[in-house]
Amino acid sequence: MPKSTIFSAAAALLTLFACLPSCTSEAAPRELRFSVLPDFHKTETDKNAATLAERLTQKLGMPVKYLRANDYTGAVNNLISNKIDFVWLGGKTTVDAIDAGKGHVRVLATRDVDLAFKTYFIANADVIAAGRIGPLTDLADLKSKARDLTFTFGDKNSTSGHLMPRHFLTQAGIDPDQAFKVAGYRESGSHGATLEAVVSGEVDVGALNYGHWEKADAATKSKAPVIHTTPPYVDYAWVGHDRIGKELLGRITATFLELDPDNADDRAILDAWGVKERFLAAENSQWDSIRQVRDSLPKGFLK
Amino acid sequence: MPKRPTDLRRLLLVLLGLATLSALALPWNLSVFTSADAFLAAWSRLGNYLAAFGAPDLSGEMVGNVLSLMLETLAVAVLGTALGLLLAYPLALLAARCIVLGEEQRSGAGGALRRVVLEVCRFVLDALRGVPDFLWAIVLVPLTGINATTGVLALALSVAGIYGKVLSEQWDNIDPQRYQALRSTGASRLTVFLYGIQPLAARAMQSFVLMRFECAVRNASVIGVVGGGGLGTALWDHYTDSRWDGVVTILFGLLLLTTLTDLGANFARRQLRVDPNHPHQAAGGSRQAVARRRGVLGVAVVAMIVGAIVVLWSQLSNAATELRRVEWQFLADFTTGLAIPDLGLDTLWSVVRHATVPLAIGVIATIAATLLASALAYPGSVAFQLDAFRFTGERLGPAARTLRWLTLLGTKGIALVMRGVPEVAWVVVLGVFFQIGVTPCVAAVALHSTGVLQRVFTETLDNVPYTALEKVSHARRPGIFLYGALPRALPDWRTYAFFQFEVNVRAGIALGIVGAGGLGHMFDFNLDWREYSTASSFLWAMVLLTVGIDRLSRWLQLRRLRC
Repeated sequence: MPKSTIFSAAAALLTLFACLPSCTSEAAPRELRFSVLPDFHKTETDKNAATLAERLTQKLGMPVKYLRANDYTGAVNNLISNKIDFVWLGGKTTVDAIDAGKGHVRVLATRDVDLAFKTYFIANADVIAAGRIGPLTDLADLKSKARDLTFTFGDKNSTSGHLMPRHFLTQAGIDPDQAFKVAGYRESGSHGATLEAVVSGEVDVGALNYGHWEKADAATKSKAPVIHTTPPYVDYAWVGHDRIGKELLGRITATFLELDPDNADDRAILDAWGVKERFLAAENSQWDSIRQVRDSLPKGFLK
Repeated sequence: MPKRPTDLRRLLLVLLGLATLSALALPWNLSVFTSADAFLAAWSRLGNYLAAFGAPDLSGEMVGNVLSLMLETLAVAVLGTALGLLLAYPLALLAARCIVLGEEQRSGAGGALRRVVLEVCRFVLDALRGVPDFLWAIVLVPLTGINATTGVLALALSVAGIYGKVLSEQWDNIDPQRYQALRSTGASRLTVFLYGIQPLAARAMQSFVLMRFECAVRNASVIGVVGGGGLGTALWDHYTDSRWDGVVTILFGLLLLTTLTDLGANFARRQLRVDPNHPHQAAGGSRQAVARRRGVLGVAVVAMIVGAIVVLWSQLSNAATELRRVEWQFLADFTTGLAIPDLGLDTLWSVVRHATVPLAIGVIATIAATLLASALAYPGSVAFQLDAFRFTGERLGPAARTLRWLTLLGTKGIALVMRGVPEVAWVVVLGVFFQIGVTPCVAAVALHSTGVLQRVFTETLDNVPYTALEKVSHARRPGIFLYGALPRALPDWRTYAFFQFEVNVRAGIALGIVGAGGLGHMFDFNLDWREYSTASSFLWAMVLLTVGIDRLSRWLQLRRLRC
């Protein structure tokens, strides 16, 4: 075969390959897909997402499908790579998605509770009884006791389980990677795993999403009492990509805002999502403070 | 093998030094052993956990689910191995000196080009092998999605690296004089390969392909933890949701699958064996009978591959749809980001520091496993338990015979469980006892590789011809073991142990993402924080680590026998 034929064949193949992924994404979508940050009991998350998908299908008049995300990063990548059209993310992942989206990603809605979200530091009850740690009004008091304690964050990409507790520890002059006997992460990503690890004594102290602790039963709470509550910050949000068109994004937002606490079906969804009253409209700029924390944090843990 | 006592002493000193250095390099968490209370608390944690093992979820739905996931896992392993071999073959051809360069001295541009091709292919194989399948899956998931296809591709990539490397070495290890006759007819190098080299290496190749398939089944059963489908996904879901009864059912399913594979591979090996003098030779040792058995085996392999494609068909087409959706820009950013490392000094220093963790895990776990497996080789050996009368001339009563059967089956059973439970699953159990950190990971790698080594150590022992053992006169079993079998087995044991070291370093990297820290953890962490260039530095470090160990083994002139 002459060389020129080979080259033109190769060029044609390359063009085809380059075109394949992007060509399909231009047309207006016939269905919508979304993911949910897997920061919670997975079976429950899948169930809640399925209920939501059904409700959104009704309200938007087009099929809405749920695509599971394997982890926090997966939820962001799904949105950026065009596997999904909108996604439920945490504070840090929201900022990650906005940045990775290069101007095409925007916040659609947030919960009332997210505008003043908190992290709880919790400790194993036996460790408290042994006097190795107690309630901390000032997080800096942890410094002298940390040497003998094992500690766990939540997922590495979690806002309430990693970013913010690390931020507040840093502000209190504590480098968690050095101060604790062991400082680790919950690879499962679930705040439930943090709670369980502290309850069972697998780790002495943990940091988690306050809402998750509040939802636990009294017996569990008594085995892992709260020793410190952080100041408030912004957290979770619904985030969408404008490749499906601004109009459709607007309709998705409106649908979330319309979920009515007095309607039983809507209430079930709001409860499942931990919304107190209603979803609220929100702007990208409201998460700027999280970006600032993310970017200004000493990055020793990445090196 | 060490020939003189001084060599042995030097070897022991080196190992002791390495073990000490490694122990100092790791951030141990041994608080469990610091006080009686902590020790008891650890046992009660483990007790609570193990109590669930008495109450697996045996509902029809769960059992049915586990059975179908076992099938899916097997399909992932079959297809991953097959694809890996397919990818490895051309690369191995171009990485084999005897094929690319041949015997004649080549000079000029043609020769230089051939050398470049050779080195590039070898490096590609090193890179494929250096990144554990677990991490390949993490890299692939954003493209192909959470499904069995990702598992198949991740396994295929890592298996291709291993196969390609070993096949090319096996071909290069064939003495050129053995195919001299063919060369002298003026046959092309490809003809020489097809009719000379490949047939001579076929036996070793088959054995190695089979061995890696077993490893692939074990890895396929946990690759779902990072999105690769099969039992692993279900295991991880149940584990993170704390549904212990389900975790137990899945672990049993996993153990059953790896055990069946283990036994199945043993059966296949017996079918392939052509040693007419072996006391346990399958019936009908004639050439025709062997050829027939091989034919049946070949049909079975093809049937398994077709079956795997059928089982995974919907997931394969799903992944194709997922891949078509992926935006070109994302793909480009992602792949170039991961290909180009950050070479800043602080990153490089961090890479070096974190590379010590998997290395140290590899050293300690391999030394521990080698000692344990050596101790378990004798009680697990057919030759020394059941067949000992053939070379000692002893006569045993029924009680003594029963005791030997029990010793043999007990030891084999323990080793089977040790290797049947993948490292990640061991970490899940041991982490409850030791708490998070590096300790359960070292223990997990040590336990798993003890099971793996026990098997090959015992095989070597059982392959020593009984005629050689008869010559150790006036000795009882332990004496014959020490002076007859061990000296013959030791060189192979050393080789196996060294290659287990390479495998264990890779396990140490992969376990980084479940608490061991080090390279795997830092790669995953940087990927999560979207610092692609730093992640890339850690990725390249894994490859370089594998290349380093590989060159060390060449320098030590060890022949590669297994994974």
